[in-house]
Amino acid sequence: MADATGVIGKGIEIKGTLSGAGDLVVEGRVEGQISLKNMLTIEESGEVRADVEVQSIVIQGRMAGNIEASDKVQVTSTARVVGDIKAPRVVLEDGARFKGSIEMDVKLPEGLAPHR
Amino acid sequence: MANTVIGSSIVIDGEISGDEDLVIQGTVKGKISLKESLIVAGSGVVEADIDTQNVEVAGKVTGNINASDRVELKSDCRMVGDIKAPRILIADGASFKGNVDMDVGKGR
Amino acid sequence: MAIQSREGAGVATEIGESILISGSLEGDEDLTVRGRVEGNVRLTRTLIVEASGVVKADVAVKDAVISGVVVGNVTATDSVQITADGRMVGDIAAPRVIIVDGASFRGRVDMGDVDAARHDGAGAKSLPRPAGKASSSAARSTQLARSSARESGRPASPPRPPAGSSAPLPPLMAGAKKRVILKKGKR
Repeated sequence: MADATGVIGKGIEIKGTLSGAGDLVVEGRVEGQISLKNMLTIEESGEVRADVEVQSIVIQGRMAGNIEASDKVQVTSTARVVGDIKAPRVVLEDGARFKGSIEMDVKLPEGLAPHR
Repeated sequence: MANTVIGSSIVIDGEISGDEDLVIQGTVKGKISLKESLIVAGSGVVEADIDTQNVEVAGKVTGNINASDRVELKSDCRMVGDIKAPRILIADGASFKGNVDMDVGKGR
Repeated sequence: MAIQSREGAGVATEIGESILISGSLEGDEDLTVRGRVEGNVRLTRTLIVEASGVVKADVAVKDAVISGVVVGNVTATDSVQITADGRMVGDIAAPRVIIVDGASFRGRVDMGDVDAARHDGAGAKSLPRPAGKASSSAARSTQLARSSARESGRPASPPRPPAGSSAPLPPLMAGAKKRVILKKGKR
């Protein structure tokens, strides 16, 4: 179980559960469930329809599913994401297309109760 | 301290309070309560009771003013309401209708 | 910022740190908030919430730049940006949304139509709410049984009316529709 980087090439389509300790780069299609201890990168050509549980994720392609990251979620300018994100750090770049909810830890000043 | 200016296209319906000077060039309806100075600029329209230290009116005020220091009504201003302040200056040309009480703090 | 205003000059409005405005505020100019605004804000221009600013209001503007605290929903016709010092709780509806690293945000983001996956031609489904999604693999297999009963054939267009669009949302989350189509893998 080396921490190698796995790559799912452009022409590959996977349906199922992926899990592991290394980084994963998706250039093709994955449908199912992804669970990684490190980083998931969805390249511009990549398309993921899965619930994802990772340390960090960089999305440059398409993603439909819920993301739970222990470190950082980065949605780049070419990304198109539909789903809910839960992570301590979330970055939405200018140009990113996103629809869903984002949950980060928000420290509000005392006495400010949110609407929800 | 930062200068607060309510610009001419702004309309506020509610209450304003604070510890700094306030310049109103727009419209405020409701209530204003400041520890410092209120300036109603020529374009300003205030329909509110005002409670501050100083007030300078060049625009239009409808409401009662209670100032702990001084009220100045400049020429071309229009005010309807009561003024209660120890010092009052009403310039030539100002239009004012209301009561004036300068006996603030001094028993009669 | 020294503001000399000539009437109608559409000069920016600034709310100083010690000022509290409670009520509704609307206007045709930029508004910079360093103090506190509660209630409702409607501008045809830009709302800037500085680091010391607190806006507890529903906001409808052209652009918003949030470096302070916003609690409430923000709708912008152009863009919403939460900078590294910004903290927001509420929903955002805008065609462009930028969240800078370091910002804090909790709420929904709606940019209108997002085409996140277009495959299978298998219709679309609304987003399932995240209820304990951490263990969705177990949920998935039960959903499998359940959803196949639910979705015979093609589900109709999604029941979500975001920005008045009618394009179907992409199929979401494997669990939602696990018709096991054994595609011929292109290896």
